[in-house]
Amino acid sequence: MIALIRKINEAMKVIEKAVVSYGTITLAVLIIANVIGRNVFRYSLFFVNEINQFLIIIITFVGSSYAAREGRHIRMSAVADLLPKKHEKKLTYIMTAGTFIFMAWLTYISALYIYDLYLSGRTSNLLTIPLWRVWIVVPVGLVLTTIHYLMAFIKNIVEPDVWISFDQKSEYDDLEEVKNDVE
Amino acid sequence: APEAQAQETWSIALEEIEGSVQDAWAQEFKRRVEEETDGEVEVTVYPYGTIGTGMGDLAEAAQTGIVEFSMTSPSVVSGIVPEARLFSLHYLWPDDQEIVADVLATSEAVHGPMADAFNESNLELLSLFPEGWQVWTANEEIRTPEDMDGFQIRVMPDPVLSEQYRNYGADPVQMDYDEVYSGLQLGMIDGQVNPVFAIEEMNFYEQQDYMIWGYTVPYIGGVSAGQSFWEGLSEERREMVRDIAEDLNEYIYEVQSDYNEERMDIILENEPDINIIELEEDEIAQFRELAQDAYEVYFDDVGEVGEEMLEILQQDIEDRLE
Amino acid sequence: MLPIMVGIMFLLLFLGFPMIIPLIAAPLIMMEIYLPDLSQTILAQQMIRGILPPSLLAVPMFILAADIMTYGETASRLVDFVRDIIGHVRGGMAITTSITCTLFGAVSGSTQATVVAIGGTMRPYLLDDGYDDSFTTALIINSSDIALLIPPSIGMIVYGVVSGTSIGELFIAGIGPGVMIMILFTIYCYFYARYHGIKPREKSDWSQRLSSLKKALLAFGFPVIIIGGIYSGIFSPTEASAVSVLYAFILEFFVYRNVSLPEFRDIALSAGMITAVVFILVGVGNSFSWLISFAEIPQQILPPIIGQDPSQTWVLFIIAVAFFLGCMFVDPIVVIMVLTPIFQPYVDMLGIDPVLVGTVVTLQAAIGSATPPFGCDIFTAIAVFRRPYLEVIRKTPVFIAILLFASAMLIMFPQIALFLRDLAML
Ligand code: NA
Ligand code: NA
Repeated sequence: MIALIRKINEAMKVIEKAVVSYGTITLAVLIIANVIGRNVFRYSLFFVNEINQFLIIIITFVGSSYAAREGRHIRMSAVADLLPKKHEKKLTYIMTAGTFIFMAWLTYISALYIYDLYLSGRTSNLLTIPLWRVWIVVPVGLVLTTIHYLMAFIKNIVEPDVWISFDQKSEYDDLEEVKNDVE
Repeated sequence: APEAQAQETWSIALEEIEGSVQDAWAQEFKRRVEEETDGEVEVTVYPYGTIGTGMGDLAEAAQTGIVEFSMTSPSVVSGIVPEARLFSLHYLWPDDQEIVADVLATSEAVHGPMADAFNESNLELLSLFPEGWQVWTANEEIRTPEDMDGFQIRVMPDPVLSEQYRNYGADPVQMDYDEVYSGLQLGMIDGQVNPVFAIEEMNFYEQQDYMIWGYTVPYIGGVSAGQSFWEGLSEERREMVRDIAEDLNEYIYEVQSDYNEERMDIILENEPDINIIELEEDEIAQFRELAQDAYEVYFDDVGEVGEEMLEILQQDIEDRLE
Repeated sequence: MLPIMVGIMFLLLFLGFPMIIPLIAAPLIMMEIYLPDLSQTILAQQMIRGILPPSLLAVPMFILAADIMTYGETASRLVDFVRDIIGHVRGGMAITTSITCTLFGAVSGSTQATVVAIGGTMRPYLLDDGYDDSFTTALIINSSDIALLIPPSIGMIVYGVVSGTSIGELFIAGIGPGVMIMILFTIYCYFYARYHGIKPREKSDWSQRLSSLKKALLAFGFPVIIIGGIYSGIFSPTEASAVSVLYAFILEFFVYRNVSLPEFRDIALSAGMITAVVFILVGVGNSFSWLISFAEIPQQILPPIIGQDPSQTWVLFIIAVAFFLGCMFVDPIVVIMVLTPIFQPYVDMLGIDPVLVGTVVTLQAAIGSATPPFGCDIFTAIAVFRRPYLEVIRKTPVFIAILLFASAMLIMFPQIALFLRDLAML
């Protein structure tokens, strides 16, 4: 059972990485194609703006799950950083559990919204693609993000140390390494 | 002032800012509703930006009951009600705007199939009214499709519109409304198309030398109520709202015509050198011929009902012209 | 309603919740309590809507371009050259960062993209020179924000439309204050370097300069392409971001041969993730803004504060404070749309020059977005630089003080903004 979960988790990670990286590259390719079309061929690729909007939504919400996995969502850790380890751990329970609850809430209303969209049949203006088919990535990405915070909460219970996500302990870069970029 | 304590609040969301044609409609609607319900109903007007800024946001707000009424201009709600692209078709309307207003107010096409299409998206269509001709702005003279060859013009995101401009030989460009001004300033686009009040409001004329009346299509505004709110109203209240909306047709016609005139004066005062061009009948004819092909895009999109509505509308217009 | 909402936000913030949570929990709870009849799906709609504006596309693209350049050689060749030219001047690198951020921001129109593109490139060099990290990030964030004042500026366009003011005049009026702030920052950089004993480098000789110029020659294609392309109308500032990705890719992949395709994909992954982290905050921030404007909170608070018979200076002061506070929490564009109509009657009544108001408003929007806790550029800096929140914001107060001083100057001496406009109108 645990092995299966691990496998699914790994597969999800591969998918998330692919979506975020190729999504970002596609964005660049489409914008450049439109610049060339408009300036060289005097033919604007009318659908580019719309596809870009789709891509941005996909990158943001799939990326949100990936960021939760990597412990990269921005937070103000000042109070936790100042506390001794024991209390920091308590605060992390509250943070991961609370984030799980509010994320689940946000996921729920997003899913409801997508269902409304499905019912209303709203389409994109130019390509007339039903919006729910693309925007469904919003509740999907959010539910994955929610699960990551649940897993972080569990990890903090079963293991010592402070975990901000299932895999990650610390969230910061080392300053000395940044300086090394210079030479 | 309302005499009784307000028992309920209706809100109406606008696609335009305070001081616009839509705002005038909403303010008059507010006054009438509050007067006729003796203050039992209070109306709140939300100008552009307070409810949402995206295309279709406001219609969604009415659909889901966030607001009771919202402006649902056909060109803005076409993602929700594709049938509304009927009002993107060029060279359908006579140049007399009074006839346009009259047909929009009374045509069976609007009250029958179009209202049904709105219904299917949980919207109760209450009113459609013209807000003035769509005007091209450019830095060169455009009189014929030849002049428009390769002309990069920013248009609203709408497949029918884009197709029509491509048929004229232009290159329709998609661009965010807020970016059009700098797009014109930096020369990324050659021109844009909008009604006079928008050209004044957005200061597009500051960046352009020509305003060209091609008489393609008037900008049409619309108002809808959310379905579930509407169905929860008493028959009496529904009647009242419908009557007020009907009465407002004449009022808003005067308002838009005054506003467009005033806005044009402002433009001429600030930019006395701007060239005003009104296309001649033979020039219009050249565009009209090319526009017809795009009608097919519309029919393909919405099916038979599109042809049906178009026929009724054309008949109604013809009847008025006689 | 507002105090409870802000209370919830700060509580969750200090408990170390991811920033998404305070921004969305507050509106969720408020709607549950005060607007139980409304469907909360509107918050989801507004969250999605918040990340759709096409101008936001510049963010992932400039992040990607900057990452390719810093991962490869382009950035270091450029900065090495700059260092050879002005490294011997006290505070030289900090001053260069400030000026470059202002110029790049002015052209790209995106403060977030500037934080990434210029900040990401210059930061290692500043750290290497001995500037501390908090100063570095504060400098980058605040210099980037001057971008809002210098044309083309979306903030001014929106203000111009909502208030009915000439956008052309607003654009011209923004230049004076923008340059004034850039100069103030430059002076601060000089004294900071002096006071903290940051040693200038040895002066490079001309042969060294020439050799680093040769190395940097192709890298100079960037500003040429971006600025040239935008001002000749070939592409929009947003599109310029993607063109710079292409140029960076060509340089690093074909010319310098420093970045392989798999590395390129990894860079795209990192750029995409940073985008996600920032945009989801922009999204929930939009939901938050929506509730504030839907509940008409500013309309309830502001008129009593302004009073019955206010003076010009008082109104300008309240305008400045309101926009500053608003932009600390909410996207500047939304703030401009919601607050401008509230102040409009007072501006008209007292005959205050609307161009001056527009400049004050835009300046406050710039300051607010660089001010903790929820300034969007701070989020971006944290996401990109991966440093703790407090470290990133610790040295912002001096910059904000300088900016507030500039605001006061602008209100007291409107000519700072208006003289160029008046000159142009002659
Ligand atoms: Na700018
Ligand atoms: Na902000």
